[in-house]
Amino acid sequence: MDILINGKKVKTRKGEHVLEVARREGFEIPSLCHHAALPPDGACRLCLVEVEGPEGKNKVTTACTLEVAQGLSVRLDTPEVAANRKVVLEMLLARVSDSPTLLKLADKYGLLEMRLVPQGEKCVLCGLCARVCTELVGAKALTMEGRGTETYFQPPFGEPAKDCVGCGSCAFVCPVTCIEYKKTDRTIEIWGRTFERLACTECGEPLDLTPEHRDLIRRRTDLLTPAEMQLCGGCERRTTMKTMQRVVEGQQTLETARR
Amino acid sequence: MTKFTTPAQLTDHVAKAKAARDPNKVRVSVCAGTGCKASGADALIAAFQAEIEARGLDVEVLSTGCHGFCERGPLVVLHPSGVLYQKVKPRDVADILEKTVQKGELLPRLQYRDESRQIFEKEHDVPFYKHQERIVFAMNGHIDPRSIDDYFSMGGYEALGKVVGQMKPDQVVEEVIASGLRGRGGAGFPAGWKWRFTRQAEGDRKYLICNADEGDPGAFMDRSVLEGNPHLVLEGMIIGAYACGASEGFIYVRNEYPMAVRHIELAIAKATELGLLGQHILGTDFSFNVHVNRGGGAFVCGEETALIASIEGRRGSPRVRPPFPAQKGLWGKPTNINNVETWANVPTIINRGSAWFAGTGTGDVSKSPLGGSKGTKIFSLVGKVNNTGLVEVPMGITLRKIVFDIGGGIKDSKKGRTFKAVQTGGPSGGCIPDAYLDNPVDFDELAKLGSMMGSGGMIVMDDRTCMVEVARYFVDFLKEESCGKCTPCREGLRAMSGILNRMVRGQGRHEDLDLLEDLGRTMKTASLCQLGQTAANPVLSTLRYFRHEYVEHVDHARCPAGQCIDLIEYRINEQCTGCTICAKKCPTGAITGQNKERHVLDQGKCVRCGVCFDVCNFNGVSILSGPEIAGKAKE
Repeated sequence: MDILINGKKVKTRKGEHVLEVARREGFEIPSLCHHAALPPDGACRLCLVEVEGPEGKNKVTTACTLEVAQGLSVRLDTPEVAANRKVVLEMLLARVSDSPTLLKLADKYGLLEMRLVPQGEKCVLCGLCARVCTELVGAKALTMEGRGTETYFQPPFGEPAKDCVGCGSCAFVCPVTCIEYKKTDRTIEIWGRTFERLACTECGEPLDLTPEHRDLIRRRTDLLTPAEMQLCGGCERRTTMKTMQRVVEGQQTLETARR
Repeated sequence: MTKFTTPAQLTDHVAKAKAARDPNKVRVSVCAGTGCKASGADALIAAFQAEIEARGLDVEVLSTGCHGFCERGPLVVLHPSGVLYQKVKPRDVADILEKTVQKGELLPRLQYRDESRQIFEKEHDVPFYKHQERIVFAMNGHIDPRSIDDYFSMGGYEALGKVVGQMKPDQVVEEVIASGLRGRGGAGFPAGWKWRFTRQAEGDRKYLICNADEGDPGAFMDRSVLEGNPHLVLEGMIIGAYACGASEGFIYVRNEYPMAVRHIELAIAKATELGLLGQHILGTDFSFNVHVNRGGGAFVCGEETALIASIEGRRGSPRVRPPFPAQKGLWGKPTNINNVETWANVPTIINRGSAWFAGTGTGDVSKSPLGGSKGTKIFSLVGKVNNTGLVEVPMGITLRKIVFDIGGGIKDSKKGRTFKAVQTGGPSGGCIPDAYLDNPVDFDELAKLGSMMGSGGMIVMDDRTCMVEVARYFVDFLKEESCGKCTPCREGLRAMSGILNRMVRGQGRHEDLDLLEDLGRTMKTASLCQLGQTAANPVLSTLRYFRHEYVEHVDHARCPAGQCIDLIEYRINEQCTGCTICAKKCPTGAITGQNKERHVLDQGKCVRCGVCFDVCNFNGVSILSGPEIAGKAKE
């Protein structure tokens, strides 16, 4: 199915959204709450585009949630898009004034003057942390609490995160790096908890893996054995290579090798 | 009564019940809606029952749902004469029975009088009721909502018998489309179209939802329908389930509506017992169950996708549409969701036909239900009018008729109060000024004026209402109730709230006006759900029609309506007769003076509550604002 982006014909597959298609084709659209590994959420409202409608009735909407459809034609830089995007950016920047991510976007999209009162917050409430924790990691340690302007992403009741496994995914996806994540040789500190770091069973190098995280993965899938999980990058490559060699030379089948 | 096992049995039973209802039977209908209960309806009903028994009279006391005229409660209507008594107390009961019921004499002290002291004898002559047209409320006041037999006797479940016995699901859908019925929850989307989408959507299971999460401040029509006639809503839902092919239904109702919950649960139990709900309804293959879900009172849960999330046990946050609930709703299954009032219109449409229904209202719906607005709409008329309460009026009625004929005009008009604006559609509606009082009220006209139908809130404002303060109030409400998920709604409301709160303190800046408009435009365009998209309406509409009031606030720190307490001063002027009433009523003792001498107000003690202004009968209190008091109010 072909769609038009800024008049350019672009190939798409059913079920895709305009944001991913446009980025694949090299168009730039800003966003904070979108991540390729997660379904769209439409929370930050930065990725505005204008959809051409019948009789000039165009509509501004978010590219991340806009599914491709036959005859769809979107424009990325209309005055309408630019004006609204600028105000959304201004709102975000009022909320979190010192974020380099946002300051860069402000520069790029011509936001020169701040008319709103700075709020001194750290988090833009994009929700990626809680979504990655719930939908991908499966730990469900974070939640959206409160409502209206008093909304926070945090562990339930603001207490140390009971269900956190210390995987650090939330800190990794955060677009404004506002989640405190501290790593020493032996520990990972996050959400008020301190986790032990497992060591590589081959070379002893500390891993970005905690016992809690390992156990969670074991509960969710048996694709990886505990031994496979507990290797550092280099050792994993080496053992895999050795195993593959044995399999290729016929000394061992893949199944027995994994055990 | 035993289970009905064929549609014919039901139809038969309803016909017999209707015939058996004696129109000449003497009934005392006492409103036992939440409003009248609060004014003592329960004690009144008990008094009637005791007195009737003591006198050995053949009179039935009906404890009914809301009559609408809550302000004058508890309300009593005597049938068959139709005599209306208002503000009735238990001590009046003996008199009513002896004089009016037995001898036919009227009791003027209990009769309704309008502002000019004219007495109105019968309920249907009272201007508040006279201009109404009641479809949804037709039975309120005539039945006990807890009695399914009362409902049968008014023709209840006749439509269900007809639908299940004689109509195919597609025919039902087409009938609803042809009627032009549009969703009463606010957006006005054609109900029949939604039904068709749900019917045509693929899914092994389909759901139905009744949205009774009525959250607008001052709006209570859904509550009154559920409390006063739960079977009507239930019958609408069963018909809808038959048409959409749904097997389970949910009524999402606020926990703050205990009587509505009780009555609808009772109705579900009774209907299930009689085979009108459950497995094999009326002996057919059609099965449908209804469950009650109580909501925790979040305003945003009235938004359909947030409501669905809440039923599923998740946080009530809206999600992006499409997919629409008709495609992917509750637990991912096709789901049809309509508002209480929408469901309550369905049985009448089936009984009287789509053509009859489309005979009331505006536009032409023969080609598309979007061609007009048909049927009636219930508004909760509140604010600075003489008659407040629930009014059901035909679509297309003018605002003037609602405010001045039904509402009886502006309160305290004798003291010079005049109409300024009417706010429709709940907290995210807009304020409409007097220039548009003669515009017809329907979905499309209200939208053109920058407001909306919403769920039907209607707040009348007089010349003493400050429009900047009104905008501030609604923005602060929405700021608390926004779900907090999307940037424009959450941050836009926060910013607007900050600006408006400064303005009412006289610290606004002229450039704030453009900023408010900018923020409002983006909230409208870029917000995720209807809450955010409409949240700027109170600001944008007041800026559009009452910009001069904003300008006065920011440029001169003057509140033209004399309402913003930081910008005004009360002064006692030369018209003061020294009657002492203001001094007596002042809560802080700020007013002193001798009898028959002009009084003095101590500004240091004054909290600007306005009681002196309200109680003065001689215009002896002036409100000053702006340069007249410059330097005093702004600190």
